[in-house]
Amino acid sequence: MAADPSAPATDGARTSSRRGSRSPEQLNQDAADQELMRGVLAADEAAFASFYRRFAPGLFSMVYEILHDQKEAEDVVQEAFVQMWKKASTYDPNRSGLFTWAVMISRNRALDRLRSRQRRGRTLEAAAAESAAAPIEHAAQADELLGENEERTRIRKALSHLPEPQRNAIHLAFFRGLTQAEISTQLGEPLGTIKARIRRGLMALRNFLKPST
Amino acid sequence: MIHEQLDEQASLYVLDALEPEETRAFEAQLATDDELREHVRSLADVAGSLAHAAPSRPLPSHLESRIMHEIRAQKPERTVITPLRTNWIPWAVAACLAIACAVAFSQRQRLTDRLAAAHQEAAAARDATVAAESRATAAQTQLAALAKDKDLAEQQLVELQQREADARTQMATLAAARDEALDKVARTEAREQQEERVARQERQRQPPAEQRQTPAGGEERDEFSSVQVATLTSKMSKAPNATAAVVWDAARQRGVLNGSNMPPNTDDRDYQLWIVDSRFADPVDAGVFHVEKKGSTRYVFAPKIRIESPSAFAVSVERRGGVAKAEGPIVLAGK
Repeated sequence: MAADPSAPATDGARTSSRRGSRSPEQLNQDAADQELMRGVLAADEAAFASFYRRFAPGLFSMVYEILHDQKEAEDVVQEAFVQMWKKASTYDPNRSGLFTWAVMISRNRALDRLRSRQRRGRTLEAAAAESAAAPIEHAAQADELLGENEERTRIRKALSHLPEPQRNAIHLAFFRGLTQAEISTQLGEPLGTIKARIRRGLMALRNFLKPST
Repeated sequence: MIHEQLDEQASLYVLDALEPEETRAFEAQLATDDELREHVRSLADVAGSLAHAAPSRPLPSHLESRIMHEIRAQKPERTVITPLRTNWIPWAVAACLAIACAVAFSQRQRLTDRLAAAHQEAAAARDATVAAESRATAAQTQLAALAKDKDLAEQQLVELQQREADARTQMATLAAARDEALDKVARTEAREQQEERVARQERQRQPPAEQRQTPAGGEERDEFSSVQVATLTSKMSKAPNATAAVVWDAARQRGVLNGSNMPPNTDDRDYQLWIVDSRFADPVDAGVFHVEKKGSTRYVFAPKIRIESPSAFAVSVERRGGVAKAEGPIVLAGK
């Protein structure tokens, strides 16, 4: 997400209008998030520990998927959570959900680390290619060892319904931090095609993830 | 209603897949479009959920304690979220930025102009300094040449003054000699006129022819024979060019010494002139004279004792005021 997730919130007035377009589950989730953030904003360490336990597994897996390095993934997750603690007041529920806010902070830091590493000449092309080829299958095998998570299952199921070209384009953008032009170059596809694949993929995901009424 | 192109940009925006320029343009539109903002919000949560697409990775057990330990040392930054009901802030920010840019551009232009002027002044100052240094060097060279010329001119002036003094002394000596000669001629003419008058009177008394000529011719010879000239040469190794000419008139018992290149006397010494006469055992004192600066000297003398037949003249250096009998070294002598 291009918007700085730690930028101060400015548009709280439209919370009610946004709530009008969300499902009861989402509204319940929003309420739980806000309660959790109230504790974090009050510098309540116990609340922050709950926040960590709720989001850290997903964030660590995502960061590891970007970096493929245990030590660096731990460092990045630690930096991200410290940033969330310090900048908790910048969270704006009108811009995104709490998990999305935490994802964007962690992802930005992981991609910064990845670019820094690439500038230093190290490359993880092989690991990235491997994960880009079949992320869903690998994820499923790992989940068998770690136990299922409802939200994770739902996302992966939604992704599995996407055509592979759409899934690959979205994966390269999200986990590799590539721009549309870089994805176009890497896949050897026209820029317009990449734009369309990403748009259609995200729209499809949104439809899959939309709670059934 | 979000049209397809904008929807495309929103999808790329939530995945950070837009180019930087496209991101800025999209955010500008986002700031003024409520519907677009709501659309982006929903896509952002979809993008955020992609994190779950990563293969599950066991969370290190020590990470929580590390993080909790670190946040205890970190002071959280808390800002008050103020709900705003208007959309004037982006415009205000844009206006402020525009004004700031205009002011900055204006200041930059002014600073650029001033910098250029300062460069020109510095260049002119450097040129002026170089020219001044060049002129100063030339002036110093000329000054050195003039000082050298001045020293040479002063040296030449001293030499010319010395020559002039010598010439004046010689002229004075020659004038004295001329005066003496004229005096002698005048006296001789007067005597001849007197003798002619006497002879005329005697011729009127018819004196014999041989008696009319003899007295006049004989007296004339005696008159000239009474003058004696002697040249005195130097006996001094330090002043070998010193000389003196002595003209002695025996009839009048007086004489004149004209000296040249004689070394100056010290304050406690005089030159003393001596006349050698065979009638006396010792040279006869002819008086003292003092030379203050090197050059020509004229000394008129008249010994207290009558001199009959001087055979030589000498000059010695004696204590101030002279001595009765020569004691000091003889510096000039001659016949």
